[in-house]
Amino acid sequence: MNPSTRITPLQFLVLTISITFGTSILTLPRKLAKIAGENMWMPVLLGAFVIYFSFRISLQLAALFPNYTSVAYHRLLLGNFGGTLLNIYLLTLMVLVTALFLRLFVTAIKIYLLDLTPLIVVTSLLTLPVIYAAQYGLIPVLRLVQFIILPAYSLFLALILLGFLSVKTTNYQPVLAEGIKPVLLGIPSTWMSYSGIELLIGFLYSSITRPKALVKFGLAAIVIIAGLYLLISLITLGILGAKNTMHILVPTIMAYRSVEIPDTFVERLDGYLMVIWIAICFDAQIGWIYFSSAIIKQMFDVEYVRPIVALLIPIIIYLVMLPPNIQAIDKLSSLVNLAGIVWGLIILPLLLILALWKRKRNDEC
Amino acid sequence: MNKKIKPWSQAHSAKTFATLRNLQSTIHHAKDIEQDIRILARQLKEQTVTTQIYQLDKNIETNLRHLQKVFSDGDDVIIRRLLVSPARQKAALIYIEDMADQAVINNHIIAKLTCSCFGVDNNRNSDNLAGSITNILTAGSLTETMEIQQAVQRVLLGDTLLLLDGVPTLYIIATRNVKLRSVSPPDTEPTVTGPRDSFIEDLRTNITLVRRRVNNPNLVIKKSVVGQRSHTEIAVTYLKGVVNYKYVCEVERRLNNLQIDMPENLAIQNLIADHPHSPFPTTQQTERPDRFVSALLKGRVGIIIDGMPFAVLVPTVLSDLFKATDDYQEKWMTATAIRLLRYIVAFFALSIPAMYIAITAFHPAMIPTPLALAIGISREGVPFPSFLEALIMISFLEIMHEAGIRLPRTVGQAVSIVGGLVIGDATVRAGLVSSPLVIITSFTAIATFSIPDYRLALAIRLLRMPLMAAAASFGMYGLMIALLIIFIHLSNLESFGEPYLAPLIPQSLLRLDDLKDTYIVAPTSVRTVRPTYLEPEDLTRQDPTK
Amino acid sequence: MLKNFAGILLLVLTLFITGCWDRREIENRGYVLGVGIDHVESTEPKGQYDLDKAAQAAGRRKYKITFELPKFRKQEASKELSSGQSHLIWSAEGESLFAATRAVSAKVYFAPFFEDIQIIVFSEQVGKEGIRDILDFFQRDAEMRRRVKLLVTPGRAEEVLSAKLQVEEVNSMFIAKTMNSVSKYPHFSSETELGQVASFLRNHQSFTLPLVVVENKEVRLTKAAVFNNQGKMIGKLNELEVMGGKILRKNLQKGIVTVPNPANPSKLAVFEILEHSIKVDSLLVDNQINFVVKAVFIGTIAENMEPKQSAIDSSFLKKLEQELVDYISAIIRSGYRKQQLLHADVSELNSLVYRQHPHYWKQIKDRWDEEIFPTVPLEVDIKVNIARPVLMD
Repeated sequence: MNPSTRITPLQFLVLTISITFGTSILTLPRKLAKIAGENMWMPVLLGAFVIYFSFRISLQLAALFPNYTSVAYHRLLLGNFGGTLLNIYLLTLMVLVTALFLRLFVTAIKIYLLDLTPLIVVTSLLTLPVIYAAQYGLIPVLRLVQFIILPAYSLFLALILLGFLSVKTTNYQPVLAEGIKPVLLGIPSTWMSYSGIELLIGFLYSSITRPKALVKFGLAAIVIIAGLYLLISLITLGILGAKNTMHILVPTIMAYRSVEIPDTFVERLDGYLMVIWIAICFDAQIGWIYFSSAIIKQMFDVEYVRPIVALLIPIIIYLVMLPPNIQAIDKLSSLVNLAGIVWGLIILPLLLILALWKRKRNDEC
Repeated sequence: MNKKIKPWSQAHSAKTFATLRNLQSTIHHAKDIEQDIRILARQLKEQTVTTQIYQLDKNIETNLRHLQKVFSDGDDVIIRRLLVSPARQKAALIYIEDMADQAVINNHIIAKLTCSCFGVDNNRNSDNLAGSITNILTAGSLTETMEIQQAVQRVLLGDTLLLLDGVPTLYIIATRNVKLRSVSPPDTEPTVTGPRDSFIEDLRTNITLVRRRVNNPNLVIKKSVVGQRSHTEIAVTYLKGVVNYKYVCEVERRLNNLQIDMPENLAIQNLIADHPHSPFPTTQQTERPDRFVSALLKGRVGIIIDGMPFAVLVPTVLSDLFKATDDYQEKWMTATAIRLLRYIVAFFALSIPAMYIAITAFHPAMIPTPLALAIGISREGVPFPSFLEALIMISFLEIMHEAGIRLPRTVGQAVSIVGGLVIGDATVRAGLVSSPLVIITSFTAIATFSIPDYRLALAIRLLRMPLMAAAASFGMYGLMIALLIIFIHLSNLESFGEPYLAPLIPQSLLRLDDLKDTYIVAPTSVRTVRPTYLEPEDLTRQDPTK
Repeated sequence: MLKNFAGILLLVLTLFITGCWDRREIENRGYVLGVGIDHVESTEPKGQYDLDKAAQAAGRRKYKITFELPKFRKQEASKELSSGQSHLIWSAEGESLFAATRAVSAKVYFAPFFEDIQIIVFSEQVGKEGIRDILDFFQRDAEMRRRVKLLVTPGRAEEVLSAKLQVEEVNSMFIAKTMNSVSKYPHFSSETELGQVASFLRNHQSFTLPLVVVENKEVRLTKAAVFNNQGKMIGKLNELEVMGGKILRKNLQKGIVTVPNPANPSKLAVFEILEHSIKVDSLLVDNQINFVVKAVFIGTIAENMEPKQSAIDSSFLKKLEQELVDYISAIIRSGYRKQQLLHADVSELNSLVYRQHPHYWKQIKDRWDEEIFPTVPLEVDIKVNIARPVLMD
């Protein structure tokens, strides 16, 4: 592989964080409050362990094929037809996740920033710049993601920490009143929020400069993401309380509407939070769209990614427009969540067992 | 008389007129033809001189005729014939009147050659004279050459050529006396406590200024000539043992590929830049020798161009454009605060008018109620939408900016009075513009001036307008998307193969050291390595522990 | 590359040029700063064209919704016209508040803009009928902020907004600012924001709202209106009962207590609370809940109206402390008793039970306000510590 397109573990860490931490900060608290109530921060914590497990499995699988991307070794393992089927499954999953995240994002933007602007315009504005970004391939995309992440996340963190000013500690009690069961039931809902690292690792493993460092960097990424989710769910819960959180469509922003710092210029946090959140979502978006296109590129052996991005974006915009209402989005999101869990916790381990078995047989021969 | 002529003329008038017209046109044509012939003759006479066609001859007259042609019979080219005294041998001096030092020629060349006091050896022939000429002349530098081209080049720079009859050799005597302004304090990059010298228009002086600061034989100055017609001298400068040679080779390759008449001032940096269509500068220009030298020490390559009081530094990344010389002399905490301020201010210079539009026209909820009401009150009665209002004011700012550069210094006062009074006060009083916008505009102007690099400031001024348009269409969302597109552009940019954002986004943990001189200025004792993104030969800059 | 770039640029430009769906200049927004909600005085049409009536297909002509907007005028102009009102009042009538809002925006070119709304005032009548259905509009609208202050007025809400006050300021702004400074005082119900009220209604929790009274160009914020868990106003707490309730909610910030001077009962001694630590606990014994309040108040003597008595005499201080203990306990008890009488647990004691005894709470949560709460005993254990007599002995 061309040395100029190799990526370092640090870039992998940044990419993982940005791709994972996108839209789901809005909806995660609502889903979890419905299931786990006052203990909704516990499934967030436990979900991180599950994703770590899935990450280690996919890492181990990728390490067995250090010179191939996941698209290639799926074919090696399952034969041409089976591998292609699996790749299409992976691709569909990624495209659907992208579309779903985008839809949630533009819905929130429409509610709070641009009431009358048509949905398609808001969507196109966010997706079309990706074509320009994909112009020179992966490395400039990595640079962009890395460039945005520092100012965007530091401002974002500063803003969400201000939320602690309005937190009421009574909202965290009682602890585990219903036992551990609701907490465990909440874990599957967190999957979508954490998903990303286990999809990326197989695809990028062969181009990473120091693959051995990935365990550390992947763990760091998961810890950072889990920390951010934990902060947000704690603050949302602390401000709104469990019962309110489950009834509000986008509880995170609603929580920040309750925070006001009088007599300062930044009196109302929600507007500023939304604006910075645009950059964060764009950061995530560009990763999802780019890697979906890169998978297509590998599948069909095309030379450049950019035309694929240009073809994929209209499809994604169409998918974003498709769900007629919020119920359909909810249904779709639970479906995609399930598909993600099937991939991360069923297909990946099976693939690993298959690969190990094949290797063993080869050794014996 | 009249009566006689009249019938004649009446009868023949039509014919005569036609004849006259023919005659007239013939005369005109003849004039045209004469003009053409004259131009042709001139062209033939003054053909573009290519020195290669002339060969050096033994006969001095032939040589002189050739050289006269080479110099296009210019009036300022002086040919002084003389007889070298003992043998009465024919000789000639060629020099350019105003560029050569007349005193040196009189005292050290003509006087010595015509002086009868040297040698009593009457048997000397021309060969002997040629052999002893180095002893006769008392001028500092004497070069012998067989090539006319080299000699002509030197004459054009102010040296004197000595021809001797019967010797097919040209002697070049250094008599250069170029009139230059003295080294003066820098105009465009002033500092508080930094050194006060700056580059001037002369390559040699500039090289002296650089050499004086680095007493190191490893400082390499590679001269070459750029410009098919101007033959401008250009010096590629780097520090051996520090610089990564990929940059040197790349700079030389790009300079060699240039096919231009002459480098028009600093236009050369647009020709060798990676992205000519980007508003952002991917090369850096400086007039400060200290800055130039410190860049060389970091592993960058400098280009000094003869005739320009600015040197060009490559590769240039975005964070280089936010640095000022003062940063390293101050305490690191104040320096860091100022450095951060520059980044923030540059961001505001780019986006403050757009933010004003987005907030007033789309999201007034983002500002506190009393402020929103105050803006509402001041906007009451303003006949323009906020976008147009801002556009008018920002355009006016740009016009003032441009006028300020073009105006003679003596009328500068008038502009500031008109600008300050008319725009600041009268428009608000007339209710054409709201007063918060005047504050916004002034802030924008001041913010723009505080960007250290002039070309970066130009880019920011240019990009401000599209941002305003984006904000006027989609509010904060549009502004954010437009900013993101600019970020995409920045991440696509490269300078001599180096990512434009390089040190701001460390590629790996090993390169985290680069951050010590980007957003922040780390204490000098901590900045022990050179920028790693430049991959210098010798990474260690200093080791204070030793 | 240049061609592609130009193509993208063209596309983006087209998008930008066709934009502006949401653009509305700041001076063209109708900044609603205060909303008043009353019952209509009469359902008869007003005037020939009946401008106030909202167009709604279903529903009665029930509420009159009044908006208070600031008047935007140039500062130079305002100097000359300083006697004029600084606000505009627009109103409409109908059952749907949203339809009424639309009726107002049909009358003026600036559409109502709710992001900077400061207060919502209900008349007492509206409160007695229940505010739950009304508040739905204010919670659902994306422009509404959760920090809007809710108030109840005994008279008509529109009069609170349109009354002429001493200060040259929009009434709603004035009331909101006053509330910010007053909410720290003990006799004033502090739980007044839309977000909190919404979550109380959601949790089936009783709550109080402050009363606002306008008289003689003055505004007074006082007492509290008690709303039960259905969002209906069922009574009022007087100022001391409010203070008692606040102590039970651990919500007291400042406070003064006036008691008869132990040295001379016909004179007063005034105690200012500077610090306090309050602990409220629920004890579950044999499936029977009871509450315990333990509190320590530390403060100073703010006034000693008996000049012969030295304020550092320890026997005097002991007597005074005892008097204060009795008095504060009485305040707490009276507040608690009033709540029990009204069957409205406004001190959030139910959430205390939920937090401390979630299983017990599950059994009784539907019967709490009506059956259980009025019978729960309260133990009060107060200590008072007079730290210093301020400047004089």
